[in-house]
Amino acid sequence: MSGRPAGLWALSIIIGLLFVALFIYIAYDIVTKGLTNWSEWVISAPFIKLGRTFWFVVAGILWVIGTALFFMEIAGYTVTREFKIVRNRVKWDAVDVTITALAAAIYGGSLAATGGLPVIPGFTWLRPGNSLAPLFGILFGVPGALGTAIGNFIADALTGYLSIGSIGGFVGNFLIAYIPYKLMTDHSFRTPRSIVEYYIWGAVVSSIYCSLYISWWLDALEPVIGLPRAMVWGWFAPWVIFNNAIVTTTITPILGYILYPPIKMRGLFWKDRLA
Amino acid sequence: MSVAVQAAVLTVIGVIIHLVGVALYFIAKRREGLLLTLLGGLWTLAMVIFYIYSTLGFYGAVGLRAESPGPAVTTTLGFIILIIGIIVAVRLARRGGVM
Repeated sequence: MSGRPAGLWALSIIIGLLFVALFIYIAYDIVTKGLTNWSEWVISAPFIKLGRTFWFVVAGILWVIGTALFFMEIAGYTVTREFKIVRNRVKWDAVDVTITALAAAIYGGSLAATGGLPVIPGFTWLRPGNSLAPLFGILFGVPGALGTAIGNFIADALTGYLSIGSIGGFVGNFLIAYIPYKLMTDHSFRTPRSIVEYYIWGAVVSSIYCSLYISWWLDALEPVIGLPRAMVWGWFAPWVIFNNAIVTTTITPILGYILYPPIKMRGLFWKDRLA
Repeated sequence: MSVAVQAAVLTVIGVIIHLVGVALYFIAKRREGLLLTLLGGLWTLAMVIFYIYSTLGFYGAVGLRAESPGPAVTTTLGFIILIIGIIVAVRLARRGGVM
């Protein structure tokens, strides 16, 4: 490792560490200010300052795009980088269906395993299993992303959070896995480009997108679900970003680095399974 | 909308997805039907878990009721599902994806 590659590695590691430091700082901020004082959290500030109307419009646009992408992939279509709609080439054979079922079991099980540890009783729980969501998309593509969606739905039932709001969580968790799968160009976790792409798309953008997607759904269905809109944008949205990003910035890259070679070697990597 | 009505709506959605999948796979002979069958089946399984937990009184107003066995049962079940999932996944990977 010398010259330009060494410089690129150093840069990618610095970018990764900056993201890790940011979310550790946010964790420190939340702990020092108190879990119930959510309106004072640093991560809540953009939501509170810009207000509900702004976020409802922005998240609404993202909701429409995310929902369209979800149904397109289920129907067998996808959008290319040139914004063309083409067949997604997922075979949906026995192996793809098995990958979906196993991803659902592992993701749902890992979320439920810590379901008895509520951070704020009645509101949310510790979710280290979130670290698996982008990984399943990056390694297994659409089947992995669908498994993530189902796993989250099962975990909602096991932890007492199942409601109409879980439909938003279903697609939102699909998107956490789908965004890095679709937008990373190098999924190997073995190059500076792959590391930087992962931190941008897999750790930060997917966490924010998922949070805004679910928050919009909870806001729009407030009369049905009953979570006050002030809490949706002031507490729920920033908390989901934090709860996802704190594990996807720290644990996921390590898991990805370890799991990519055996998955690739066994022919289960999504690019090797396209029709 | 009450929790019971929300659960009924979700159950109906799960059953519809499952039936559409079965129809697509077995009648229309479309491969995507297998995915929808699985998706609807697991969705419905989640609803079965919901009804069992409700009957046993594991749920509080939101989340699990701390005084009930719910948190312990969920943690245990979660670990069991996770471990079985990992064991099956490792065996699957060793066979290159063939069960």
